[in-house]
Amino acid sequence: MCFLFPFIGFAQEDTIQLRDELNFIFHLGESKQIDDLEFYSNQLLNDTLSYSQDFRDSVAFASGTLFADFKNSIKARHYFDLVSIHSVFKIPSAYTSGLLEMDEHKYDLAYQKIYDAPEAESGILFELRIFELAGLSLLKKDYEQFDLLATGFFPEDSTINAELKYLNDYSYLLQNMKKKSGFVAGALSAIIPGLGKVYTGLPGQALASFLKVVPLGIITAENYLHGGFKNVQFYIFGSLFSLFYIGGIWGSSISAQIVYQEKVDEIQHNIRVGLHVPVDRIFH
Amino acid sequence: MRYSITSGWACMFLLTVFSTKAFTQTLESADSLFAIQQYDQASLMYERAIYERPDDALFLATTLLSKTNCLKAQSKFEQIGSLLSRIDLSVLSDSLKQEIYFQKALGYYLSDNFELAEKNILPSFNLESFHTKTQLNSVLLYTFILDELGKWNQAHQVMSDYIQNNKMFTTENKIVLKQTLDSIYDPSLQPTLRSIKKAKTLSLIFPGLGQAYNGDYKKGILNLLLTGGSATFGVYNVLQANYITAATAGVYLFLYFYLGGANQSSYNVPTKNYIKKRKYNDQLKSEMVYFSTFISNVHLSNQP
Repeated sequence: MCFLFPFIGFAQEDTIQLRDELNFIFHLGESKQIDDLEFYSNQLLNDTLSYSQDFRDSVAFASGTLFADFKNSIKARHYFDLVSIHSVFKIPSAYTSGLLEMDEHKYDLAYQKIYDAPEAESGILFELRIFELAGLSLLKKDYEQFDLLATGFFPEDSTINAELKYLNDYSYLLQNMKKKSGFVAGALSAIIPGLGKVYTGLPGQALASFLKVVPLGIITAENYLHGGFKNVQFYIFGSLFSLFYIGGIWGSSISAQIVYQEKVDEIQHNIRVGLHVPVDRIFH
Repeated sequence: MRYSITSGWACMFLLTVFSTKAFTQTLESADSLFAIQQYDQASLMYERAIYERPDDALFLATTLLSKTNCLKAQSKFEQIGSLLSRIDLSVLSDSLKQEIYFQKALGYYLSDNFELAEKNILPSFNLESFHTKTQLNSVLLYTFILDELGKWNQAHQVMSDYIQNNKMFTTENKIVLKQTLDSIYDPSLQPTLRSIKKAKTLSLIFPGLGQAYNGDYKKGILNLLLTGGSATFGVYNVLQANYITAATAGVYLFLYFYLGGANQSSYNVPTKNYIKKRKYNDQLKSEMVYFSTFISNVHLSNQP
């Protein structure tokens, strides 16, 4: 929360009162009096007659920051979003709120929040904007937009530059990652139970599937040999065998999609972590 | 030079008077807000007073104790423990420490966290100067906590010791109070709680026995039938020379119902115990409330 203090000087307000109110807000935050913090912040924010917009922006930003520290994303976003567009706090608020939306996989909303934040024409904030929008485009799987933003973009800031290289790598991986065929996986499991899962890269599940289907098949065969079609147990175990056999084929075919999605999720997780790095460094 | 030193002292004095006035006014307005049931605002004002008077451990303790009343009025019992943890107990008097331990334990008790409640009430009994009035409250709370933890004999003992060792009671008082307490904590009325381990062991010795021990006779019979059925299925297949079926499906089904039944018997024990304990404790609590009123009256009548 200490990163707020350099910004306080920007607010053109009765500074003694502002500092006192903000210090009290921080006191509530430090002593973890969350209910009091919310009650007091709302009281200050709703009092438009006594407090100027500048002051209320400072309060909203301080409250958002504290709720973000408490890992209360909903309330943090609520307060960050209350910061007005003309405030000096708008840029950090919009970026932090956007990244909190991103953490909840609301990529469109995150993109919009950062896109709507005041633009800087050059410098680190300009580079940060391009980088964040590029990363969010990648999360939205809008590769065209990513290429548009990232191509020819050479940030001077070392952190953004390093993270952008990772983004380019992830973009390549996402666009060139081959998804295993669900049809092939299913067909392999039809020939030998579990083989489809070996093909999709799940050997443990393949063994489990094999150990379920094959013994049931042997039991069915044994019961058929000892009683033919008149044997009731043949029908019971035959049904179970069919169920697990077909289930295995179906499971193998959808495992291709699941394995692919898991790899995408892992890359997206890395992208999300990477998008936090420069924001945390610049604003904190 | 002398003038500037004098004016400096004057400024410091004025500042002290001003700041003292500020937090005193804040505290007074907090109390007023509490009186008119504006609990959110009162809670905030107590915090404001603390903010206006930092580095005063005694003030922090007394103000936070006032703030706990706001939390209690708003049923935010689970916040009381963490709120009072902000207090540095090392600099406080025993009577204040006793009050803080009591309020913390009460907060945990009211938020159904009985282990923490017990942990927080116990230190108050080790204080050198144990205030008589608060002592009764602490002992009563401790017995309530022990009741909830199912330690009824200990609760009985704690209250008996209190009556026995209290110099405020006459010998006649002690006899009457002891008799009343013995009737409340009559061991024959206490629920018999079942053991998870025993239920599981019984089910392993004989399928369904664990469920029967826990009072679930229907589940016990069902478990017995399923385990017996799966064993019969295995034997039947051996007799039919379906050895593979017997060795795989037969063994699997038997183990599934046999071990599953043992596990199932242990899952139901805590639920059944809770129901029994709740029923008994609700009755006990109402009787103890009467008893506490009775004991307070005896206390008052014996006061000089």
